[in-house]
Amino acid sequence: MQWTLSADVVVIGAGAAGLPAAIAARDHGASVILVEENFDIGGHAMLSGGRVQLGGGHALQRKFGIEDSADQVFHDWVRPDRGDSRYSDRDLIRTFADENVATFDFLVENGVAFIEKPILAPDAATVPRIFVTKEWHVSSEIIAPHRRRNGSGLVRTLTASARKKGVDILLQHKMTGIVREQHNSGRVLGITARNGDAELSIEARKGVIVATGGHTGNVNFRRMFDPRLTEEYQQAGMPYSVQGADGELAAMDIGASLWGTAFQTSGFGPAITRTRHIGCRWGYTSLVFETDSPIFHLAKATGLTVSDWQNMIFVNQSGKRFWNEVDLSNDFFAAAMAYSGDEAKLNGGGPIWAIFDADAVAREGWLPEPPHVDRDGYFFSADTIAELAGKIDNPYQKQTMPGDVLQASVERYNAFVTAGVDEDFAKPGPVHRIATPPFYAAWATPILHDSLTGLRTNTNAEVIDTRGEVIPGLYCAGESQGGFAQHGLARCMVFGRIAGRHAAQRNS
Amino acid sequence: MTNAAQVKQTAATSLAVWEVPATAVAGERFAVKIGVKSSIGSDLRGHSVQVRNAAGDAIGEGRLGDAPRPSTDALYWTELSMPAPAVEGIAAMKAHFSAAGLQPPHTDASAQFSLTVVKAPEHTVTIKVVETESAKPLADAYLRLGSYRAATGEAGSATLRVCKGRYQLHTWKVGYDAAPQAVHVDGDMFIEVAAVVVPEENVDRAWKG
Repeated sequence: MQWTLSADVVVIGAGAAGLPAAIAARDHGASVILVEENFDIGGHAMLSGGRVQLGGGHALQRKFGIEDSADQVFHDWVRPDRGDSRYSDRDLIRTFADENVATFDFLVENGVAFIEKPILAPDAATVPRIFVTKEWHVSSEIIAPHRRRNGSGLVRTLTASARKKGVDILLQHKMTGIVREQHNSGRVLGITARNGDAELSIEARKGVIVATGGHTGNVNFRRMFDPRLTEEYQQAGMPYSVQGADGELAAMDIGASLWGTAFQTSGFGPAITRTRHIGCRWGYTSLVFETDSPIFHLAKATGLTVSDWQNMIFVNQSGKRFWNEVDLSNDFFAAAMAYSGDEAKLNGGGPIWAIFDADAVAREGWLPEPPHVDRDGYFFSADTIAELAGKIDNPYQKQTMPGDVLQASVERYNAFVTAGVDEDFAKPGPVHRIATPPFYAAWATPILHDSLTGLRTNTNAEVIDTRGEVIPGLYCAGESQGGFAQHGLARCMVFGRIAGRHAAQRNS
Repeated sequence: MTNAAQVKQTAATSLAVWEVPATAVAGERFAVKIGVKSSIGSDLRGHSVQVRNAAGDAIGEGRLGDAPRPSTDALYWTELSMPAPAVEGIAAMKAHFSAAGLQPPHTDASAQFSLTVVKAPEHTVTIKVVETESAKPLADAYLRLGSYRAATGEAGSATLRVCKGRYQLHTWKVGYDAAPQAVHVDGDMFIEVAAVVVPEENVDRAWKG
């Protein structure tokens, strides 16, 4: 094969896993090419809150008198009493635990700065381990400014370090395939990629590291785990960072196996979340693209941030209310994704719409106009409830919402407000009628976040095939890696660093 | 002409009913606002609207005003006053718009609403909501005492005129938790509600184990 470019290690994806992988590989003497499909680095981590859950007794923990150890990290993340830990691959957890302190030190050595305030995560952790990275200091280089997206500081700093150490970062280079000696056997040799109209091939003399970030944006892929997750469910991180399962698919094409799939549908963890910012397409709870975001032209609206779910009802695409709106449990998602009665769409629940009135707008202090709402399919207003239903026109709303059904839903809810009892779904109160015109329908469909399963690896982050054998020269870290469902950045960075180190030390 | 073609030529009307009081005193008059919208934006000024009780009897009637309600596209509206039913309890009513005579032809429209019919109030109940730690009064807390409802003002207080009786008092304010309490009203009274701060919605809550 004629290679366009060549390096010892090729890393796919410049996010929370790929950047540490690239740096670690360089630290161990390898030449590194890092390809990133986006116009800028960072992936989901650029938009994250920067909460880094590394423990084991590192320097910052010790400074605050927090007693922790690698063993404690291990025991926390194999706890049988919790859904986010009971399905863990304990071999991976053991390695993760043992590498926590070294990874924290690695971040500090590469310039990452932390806010000195320990946080106890509401997950399997039993001691405070979260320290938040400092936000990047250049506002114009933050994709979601003004919203404490402190992950920007993590990925910008690591990128600067990677470049300084000689990592060759190729933006807008999309991996299109992984090249192996034979289709299902032999060593991995490199990747193919596309840059605009140009096709290129990049040799990886020692290893290819898949750090592509997960699969939530690939409808076909995510439905392997949960057939309900049809096309209407958007993804956190969009429209900046696509989790398209590219790495998983390319690896599976050459024999890779998935692993730890129970996590994805266990009902624990933020695989599916409520939208908190309604009336826009991407309203993930902690993520708002303000008008000065460099991608606001793609996001189109900031959304209306909900402070009180008593101010609205949710209806499905048929105009029927389906659950208690103030219930934040996973039961809400089951109801939202239930069969809506549409015989043409048996899977998925269809779009979910928040329905509210002018009084709710006043109580929330909203201005229901652009740039706060996206009138191109995600926000509608009308003088009456029946009229509102007919105005809803959205790519995922496959049939017109019947006005009489929506009106009946609202009238029934208003009757519950009069009586003080929600006979259908036991919403406390309910407090406010939906009666004062104009009326509004805002996109409030649940939004996907974490990929909680992915490729099988061993503790060196080497990818394992469906027969249980290592695929020589192929690595995976981050949300594309299976077997560990801790939310956030830490597992990405620990195994990214392990992958880079091991790949660099392989014989080519 | 086919039925389908006739249907196609018939525009729709739809209704909204707002400012419905939570309670009305039996036999006394109360008012609501009613608006009607034509799907093709027809001028509806002067057309009649009616409110009917559960038995279908008209209890109020009026004509839509000359101008659409501000902030709407073309919602013609009016305020209707009518007597509350004589019997206490929840009363369901229906606002109705007849499109007879409207050109081009429109369908009729109706909308249901309800309120609670009560006896004439005898006592004044003043409720103050305070945050427990700081004793700070809480404005914009929503109160429900039986069928009576109010929101607290800047001083954290609201006043309700109610009948003698035993009620449950519910308090709702986002970010706070206040336990429901039983209230026996047999005279004018003052109630202080203790509200406890609950942490802001935790974005990590979804993965609570």
